[in-house]
Amino acid sequence: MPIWETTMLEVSNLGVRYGRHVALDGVSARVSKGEICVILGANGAGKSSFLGAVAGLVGTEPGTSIVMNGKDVTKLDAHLMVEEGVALVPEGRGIFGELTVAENLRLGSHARRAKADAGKMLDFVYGLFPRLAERPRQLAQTMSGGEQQMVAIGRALMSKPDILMLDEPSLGLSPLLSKELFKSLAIIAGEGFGILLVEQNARLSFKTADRGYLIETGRIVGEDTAPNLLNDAKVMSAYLGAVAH
Amino acid sequence: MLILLTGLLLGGTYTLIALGLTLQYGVARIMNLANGETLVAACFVTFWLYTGFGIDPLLGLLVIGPGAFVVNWLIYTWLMQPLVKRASNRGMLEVDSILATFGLLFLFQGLMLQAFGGSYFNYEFLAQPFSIMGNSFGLNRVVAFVAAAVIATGLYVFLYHTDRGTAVRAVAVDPRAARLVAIDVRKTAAFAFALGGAITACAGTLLSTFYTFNTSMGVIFTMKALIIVIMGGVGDVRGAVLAALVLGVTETLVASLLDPGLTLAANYALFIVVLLFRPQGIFGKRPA
Repeated sequence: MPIWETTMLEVSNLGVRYGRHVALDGVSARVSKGEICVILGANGAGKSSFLGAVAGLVGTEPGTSIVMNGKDVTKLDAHLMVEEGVALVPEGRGIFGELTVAENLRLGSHARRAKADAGKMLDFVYGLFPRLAERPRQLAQTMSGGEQQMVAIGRALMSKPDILMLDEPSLGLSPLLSKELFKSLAIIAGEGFGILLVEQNARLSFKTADRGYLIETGRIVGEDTAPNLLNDAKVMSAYLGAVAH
Repeated sequence: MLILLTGLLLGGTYTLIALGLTLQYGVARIMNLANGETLVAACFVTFWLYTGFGIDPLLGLLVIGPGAFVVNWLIYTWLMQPLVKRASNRGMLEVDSILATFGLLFLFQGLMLQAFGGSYFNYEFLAQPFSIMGNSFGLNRVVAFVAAAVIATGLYVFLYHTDRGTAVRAVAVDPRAARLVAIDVRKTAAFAFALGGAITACAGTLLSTFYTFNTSMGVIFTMKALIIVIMGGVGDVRGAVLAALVLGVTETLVASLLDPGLTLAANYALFIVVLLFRPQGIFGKRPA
């Protein structure tokens, strides 16, 4: 039985180019409420461009359509996409290193949509990552890689997103920390947040996810439920391990 | 002791000048070479309000601060934003904004020269002795220092203890990440540029109460601000305060013990020392 009854994010015919280089071509994907969706692909396949385009950081080609909660948001700038319920944890995390943990989280609720429930969300984030609750006054840049990842995810959650997007969250984390991370993502999805992540780590992400897309040189080449993808020997041999190439 | 206190009093006004520049450069990423012209314009407007209408310079702050805010906001949105839009990277914006504000410097200087001529101006305001620890200082200097301290403290509270101020700092740290937390970077940059201009103008008003000014001195103050900002570290409020006080004391030391004509030379000597030994600023970390 599909758990993605209501589609929140619907991307159709997405194209992105950098000068003459075509990064994405005719990509379509959707994410529903409370669903964990993975886009799996190798380095340079266009994963980051996909998230960047949805988040409003990267310009899209004519013909692209991005619809969020029934509203056309194709041309919205990044800060307005947050108000539509899209939060991105970018590659390299993008936290404010010179600001404290508490300031990073407070900035997360800068969006108007987040203001009313900021206290509730902060409790949720601190409950999810008790480590952050212990050191609200520490400068974010002095924390370990895993803790910085918590700050980044916590900050994105503070905007009370409908969809949390993560760009290779397990990159640079130990296998143990990666496992912890995906556990946290499962909890977040359980609270009703949609999750869209791009990954190279096939096994770990498909174990947690509901559904997956395979992306290769800017095109979607496969789509299925996560268990099916996990049991597909061809897929797993192509994407098993950390780096495909 | 006298030299130290005189220097610290001067450093108070310098702090404001530097805070204005660091807001414009650190947040809006505009290296505003015409910053000193804002200061000089404020000196003249204060003079005009005081001698023409009898408006107390301290009350004048309430007009000049907001006025400079509006003017600087217009400068940013009309003249700087096109540069920001077409710049493909930060280095390009830096070069463009330096050239553009270099031009503005001469435009404003020319306009003021036209209006006020090239002679030196001053006026008498609170020109009475005030005693601190047995030493006598001009009351105007003391009042200017106190006012500067109040404004600087206000700015600090705004930047570090309000949501809006935290957003301003976030843009200074990482504009791209700031967009991801729903901050309108364009608006915030315009606001920071305008606020920086307002603070520099307040510094000009306070400076004029005890300092002889003329239309062409702006560039000297831009340099002083630049020295302080680099010494304190770009965007670092604590660093700017400390560096401004150091500069004030150094200048006074050189002027009293050596020769008043050497203060500018002392400025640059200090600048060179900082660039050689601590280019990342007093509190700054070495870039990784």
